[in-house]
Amino acid sequence: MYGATVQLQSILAQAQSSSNEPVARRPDLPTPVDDAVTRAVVLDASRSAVWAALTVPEELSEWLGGRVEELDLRPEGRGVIRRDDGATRRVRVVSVEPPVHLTFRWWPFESAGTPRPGAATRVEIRLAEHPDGTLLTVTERAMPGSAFRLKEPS
Amino acid sequence: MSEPSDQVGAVFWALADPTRREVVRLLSERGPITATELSVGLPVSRQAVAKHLGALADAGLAQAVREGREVRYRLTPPPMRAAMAWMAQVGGEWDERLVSLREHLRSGRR
Repeated sequence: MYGATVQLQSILAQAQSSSNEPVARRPDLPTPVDDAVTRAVVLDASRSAVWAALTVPEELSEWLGGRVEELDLRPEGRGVIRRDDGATRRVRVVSVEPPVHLTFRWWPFESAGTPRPGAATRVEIRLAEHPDGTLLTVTERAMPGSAFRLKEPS
Repeated sequence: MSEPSDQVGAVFWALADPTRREVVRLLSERGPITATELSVGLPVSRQAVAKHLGALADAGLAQAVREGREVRYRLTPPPMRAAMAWMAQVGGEWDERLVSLREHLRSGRR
């Protein structure tokens, strides 16, 4: 569980530090919490290979956690990801700049009969050349103003 | 409010299982919700969901609230815990995806 330990430490670090980027905040939180999650990894592959893995549906389907049935890679373009159990999540492209930058919004997986859709989150992925391959940085955050809705009963 | 180390332990434990992460997310978005309602959005049985809910309640992450004949579950109130759970869930998903992406890129190389 070494990976999970590192992950938890990064979660705590994020919870304790404030980000330079503007984020939606909940004023009732006792400590500043950046409602964003960031991961950075160096991949042993060229930037164009990583870009293809991020943008070609057949390749995305291999690792994203569902089959990418549709992906219109333009601003406002739509996408659909289907999980093995039939649940789908919608994607809406925000901006694309090959082969360095991709931002999209997506909604949680929904099965037929899901009471109501969850809130969208925004995913930003950046690729940079790196001596060992390609540095991929991904940030997922709640949409400004909607935050991650914590529907706690008041 | 419990000790931070309790929260850390609970979050650490909750993020270790993908179904539990999904349950936590659904609770954060829709709670209070019954086990049956939760199982509609999950690829596991109602019984499995109930088991995860019981375990989350034992860990102090979720709370059972009786409403008439129904038992509904919600995340326990401290927003900090909910925020951490959200980050744990989303972070855990990206950790898994990035491992898969790395494997995909490796398999694609001749």
